[in-house]
Amino acid sequence: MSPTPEEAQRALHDVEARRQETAAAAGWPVAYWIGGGVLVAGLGVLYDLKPDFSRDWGNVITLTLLAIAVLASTRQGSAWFGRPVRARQAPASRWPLAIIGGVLLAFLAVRAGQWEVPHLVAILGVAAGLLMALAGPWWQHRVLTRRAARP
Amino acid sequence: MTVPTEPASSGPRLEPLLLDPTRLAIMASLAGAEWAEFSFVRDAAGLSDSTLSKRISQLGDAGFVEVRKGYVGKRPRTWLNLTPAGRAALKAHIAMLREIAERTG
Repeated sequence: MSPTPEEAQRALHDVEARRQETAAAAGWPVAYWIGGGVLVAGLGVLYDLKPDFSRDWGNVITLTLLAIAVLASTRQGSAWFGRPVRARQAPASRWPLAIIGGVLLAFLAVRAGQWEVPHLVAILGVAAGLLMALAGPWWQHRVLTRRAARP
Repeated sequence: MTVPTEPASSGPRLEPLLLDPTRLAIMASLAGAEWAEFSFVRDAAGLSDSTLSKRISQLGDAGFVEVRKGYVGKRPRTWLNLTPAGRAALKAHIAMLREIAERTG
């Protein structure tokens, strides 16, 4: 039996609300973004003030953070971090754009290393940390909402 | 005579299985993610474990939902996901609901 227009309208509202609820559950809590921002800013300052620490531990810390990021994007990793839902992944068509962005960022980081600006690493670390803590939750909400609305 | 430009399955179409609000609620909850934990869907849809299991098995039989079991530490977990056929059916069902809803005016 076909639903009435009113029933169809209600069903559509319900579907949209549930999609958004799931999308929200796939995101990291704001506290994680703030914690991540503080960590990035702290590492930037530490690397700047203690270059020896950066030489000894820089690669280990970077690889550990990368491993955590990859693990967190898996089904089981999400559960480990208390997320009951794994976010929908970006469509394959977006990967070239992400790779270009990553290469551009790496290129800029190498170029920035050649500038003679005092405490550049600390400044960049604090800027990246602030960006992560302040804009991270907004960006995450935007991305998850758009992905959830994808057919 | 009109020539169809899309496969029949992708056009607006009511899916009989999704006329049940509970099954539609489960599918809609899964649509916003890839792999959701059983407990999340149960709480989101406000169902008991057994009711959700029954509905999931109906949706699974239709090829709309896939189920994976695993462990997180020592705790068993069940994850649910929409299959491509499930997403297509939901898309077609929603498109048809939109058409019906527009008849209001």
